[in-house]
Amino acid sequence: MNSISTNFKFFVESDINPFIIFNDNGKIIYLNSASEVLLGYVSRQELYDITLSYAPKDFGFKTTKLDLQYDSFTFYAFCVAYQNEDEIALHLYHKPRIETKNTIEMNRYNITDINNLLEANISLFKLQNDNELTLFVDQDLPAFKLDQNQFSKLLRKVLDSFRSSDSIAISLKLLIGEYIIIGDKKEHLIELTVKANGRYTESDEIIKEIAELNHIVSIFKEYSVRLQIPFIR
Amino acid sequence: MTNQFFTQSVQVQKIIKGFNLTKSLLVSSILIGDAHIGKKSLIRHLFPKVVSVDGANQEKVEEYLSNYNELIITNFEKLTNIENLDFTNKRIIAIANYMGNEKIIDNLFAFIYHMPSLKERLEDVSLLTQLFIKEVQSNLVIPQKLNIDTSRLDISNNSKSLKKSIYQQVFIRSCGTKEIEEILYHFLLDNMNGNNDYKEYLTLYEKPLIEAGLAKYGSQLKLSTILGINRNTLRKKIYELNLD
Repeated sequence: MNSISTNFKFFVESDINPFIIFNDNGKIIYLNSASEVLLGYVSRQELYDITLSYAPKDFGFKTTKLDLQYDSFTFYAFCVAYQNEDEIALHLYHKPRIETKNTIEMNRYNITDINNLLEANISLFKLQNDNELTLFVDQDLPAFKLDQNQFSKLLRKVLDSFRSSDSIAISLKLLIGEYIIIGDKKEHLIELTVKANGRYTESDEIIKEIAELNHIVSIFKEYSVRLQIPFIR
Repeated sequence: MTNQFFTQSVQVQKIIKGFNLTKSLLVSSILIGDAHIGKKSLIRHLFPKVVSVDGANQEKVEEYLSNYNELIITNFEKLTNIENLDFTNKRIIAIANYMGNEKIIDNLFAFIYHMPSLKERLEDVSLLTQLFIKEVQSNLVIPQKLNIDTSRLDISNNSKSLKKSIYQQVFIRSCGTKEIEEILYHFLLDNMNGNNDYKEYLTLYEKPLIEAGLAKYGSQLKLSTILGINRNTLRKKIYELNLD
């Protein structure tokens, strides 16, 4: 079967896993569309460094199982391959996400003023913590449908992970041009960002679990947590 | 009748603010704290029209949960099977004397409030003391203003022991000769059964007499004149009664 001669470029181009070919100077000479998106969040140099560090000792390929996270992209492994001295390729493999029902149980969702819900959760947080807290929200943000109980639980856990931070900044905004598909409907996204000078990470897994059950994307960084919430009206 | 709740505690005022903010939301909240710190009064004050059910009765709680979308569950710590309770799309306000299984509580409730006990909110002790004094004066029909010895207030069991210590103080301070005689009569009737009771129970009179006299007149010399007894006799009594 290896004797087949065809143009594989289209198939590589449409792969959801990023695929990049560097020349011997680290310059990108090919990248598929998934890589273009990824390069918005990680530098070319960082990917090239990984490629060189994990390259096989001789011509051929080597797959390494290693968790890599760049913003909301998580990879569980990658393959580095080269067959001459001029080109080297990196293929990153997305970590499979937990299978969640792509439908939403609308009976749990009620029209909610998110600013009110946020205020209630901040008030709960302030009962036990006296950290300085700043809030940047859009008061004109229209009410939308949320599972109020689940979302409050999620917020409590997110805020709690910042309990020892000196100052906490919370912001809420409507994301322009980004969507989530739920069922067969395209929904806008609202992004809630909580940022400080440090945070505890022990609840990240449970935060992620609650978020996924509620079709919310959670993005964890060293100093921040972002929640992308479907704006269902 | 409206349910009133009085507090000057900043912590409790923050809890009230939290509950007020979630009043219109379908969320589950729990208020945890020692017994007799005003949890039930606070919740009844905030949610006067919401149906309440006692957590000691598991079946009734389950029945109410299927019939009401808004429910107060008191004594939540007494419920034995809480994992399977379904709070979806309901406004649940639970009250518990202690947390119990932290993991389950954390999973069931979006809002978890811890109410401080009275020893952690001394500002409320003086507020409650004034309220209880008014209450006891009204109940015992005592018209005159009474001063309470604040050093003798008991908050070991929160408002329950505080109220008891105030009732005792107010009653004691309002007693006249007739009531004191009556108290002694009943006490002696219940307790007399020895051979030397005259001498033993005489201390019931002598001890407060000398204690009050020393507090009022300061010196033994002056007190012996006031009482009309010999100075040496008074000194001997003070020694016998361990008042020195």
